[in-house]
Amino acid sequence: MDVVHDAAPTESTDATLIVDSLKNPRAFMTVVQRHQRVLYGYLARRVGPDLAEDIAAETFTRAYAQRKRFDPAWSDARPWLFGIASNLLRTHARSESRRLRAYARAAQPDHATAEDDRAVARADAELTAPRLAAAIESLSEGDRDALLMFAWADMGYDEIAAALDIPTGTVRSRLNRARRLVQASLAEPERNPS
Amino acid sequence: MTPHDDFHDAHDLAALRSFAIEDAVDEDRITAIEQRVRTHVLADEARRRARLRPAPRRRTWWRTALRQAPVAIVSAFIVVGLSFSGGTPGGEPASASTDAAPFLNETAANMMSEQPIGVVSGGGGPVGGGTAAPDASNSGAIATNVVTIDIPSPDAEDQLAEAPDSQTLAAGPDALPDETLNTVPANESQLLQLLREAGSSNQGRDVDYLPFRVAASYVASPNVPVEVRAAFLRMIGQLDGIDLGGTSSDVVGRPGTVIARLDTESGIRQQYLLNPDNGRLLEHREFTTTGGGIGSCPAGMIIALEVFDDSGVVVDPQSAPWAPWPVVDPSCTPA
Repeated sequence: MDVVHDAAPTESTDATLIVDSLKNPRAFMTVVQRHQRVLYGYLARRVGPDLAEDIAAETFTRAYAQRKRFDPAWSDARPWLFGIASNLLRTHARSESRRLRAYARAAQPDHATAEDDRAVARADAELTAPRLAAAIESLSEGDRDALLMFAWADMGYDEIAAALDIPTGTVRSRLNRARRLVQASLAEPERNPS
Repeated sequence: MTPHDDFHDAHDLAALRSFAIEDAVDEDRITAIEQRVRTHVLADEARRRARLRPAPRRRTWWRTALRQAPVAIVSAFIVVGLSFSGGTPGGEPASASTDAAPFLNETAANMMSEQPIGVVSGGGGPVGGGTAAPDASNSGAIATNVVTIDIPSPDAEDQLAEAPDSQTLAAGPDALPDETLNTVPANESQLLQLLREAGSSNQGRDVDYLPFRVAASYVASPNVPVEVRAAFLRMIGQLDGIDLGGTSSDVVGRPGTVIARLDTESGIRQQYLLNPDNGRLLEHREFTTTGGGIGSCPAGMIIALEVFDDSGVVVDPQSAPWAPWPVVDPSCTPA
């Protein structure tokens, strides 16, 4: 097989690379390498590793096919890629719900074994995971997209707005609503799973 | 102000960020994603390069004519094929052999000996070759029957093209330019070696999952030379775990012989329906055989379904006039 050398230097912006890729398709691979980790991580946490791999690969191949339509005013392709991924995720909503329900049913850890800070932090995370899962599942699709892009993909309001094709003000209101719900779910008194 | 300043409760944000964090990093899968995209991009690049070369004008002429043939002719082929269904094994008991190789070798031989398309001057329509439906392949033999012009030899045309490597071959016939298609080896052992090499990195599937699937895509494609399609049929007979599944009908009602294989890793059963008289692929479907998994799919769920008309074109389920179409859930991921 060919040894592939992706032609573009890594310091080029995504917009430059995508425009270049219209003449030199391999330049697109640098965009893939830049964003595949965060995109896969986001998708894997939403629908699990197997589906995430498929959706991430499909996102990039669709992006490649549609790259003529990319707005070069955006130097960073992340919002564009997450917009494509969000559309693909919608067809897997049932898988995501099943996964969240499984998390919500998960047994809670025994705090008595937590002896150091890391163990306490881990136990704390495990303790809150079922509640978080239930809270995330109860969010509307739009609120969930906004919250998880914010928390898991480290995207700003403008980027989320671009990805979801909504006004920035709507992103703020969605995040506010989602945040309140998460806050309330974490503040609930601890329930004994037994 | 950054978005994080607006997320007042840092504890909530930290909890959210640690949720399912163990799933977020998997270098093997990230590498697999990159390889899949790279294969796609390279195939597109190869197609673009091919388009930039001067096209062999004469050859393009008859191919264009074939591609622009009225849908009515294609439909007529189907009708002709079905009208001779007495000659097909519909309703007959399937071969009792559990070894698919002899059946596939014979079918490949039938494919090679099938009468090619003839074009009657004045637009009189296709000349059927006995009970065999016509073949829309682009082999040299067919070309000389379509029009009596001097066609450049494939050897001369293919001087610029190189035989595809395993990953390129695995991308399927639609991803290859015509020049490369003509260099695909018509040797089943070579094909099997290349596709097993490509399938060895196919996570979550056993090593023959990819070769079986890819081989069928070549068998179905009208752009692949008939010798290569026949080689892929013979190659399928060399795969582990191939079942000769008896006779059945596709969703359109065309009878054929089932060739199937169970992927031992995922529990997915891939099933193809072949016309044994000419090796033409009629239908492809995949379904789950085990329940559970991430999608909690029930056993027997169809996750892929394609029907091919006589020109090898996938029939679009949305525009299909027949009903009911089976329920297909491509998002169903078996255990």
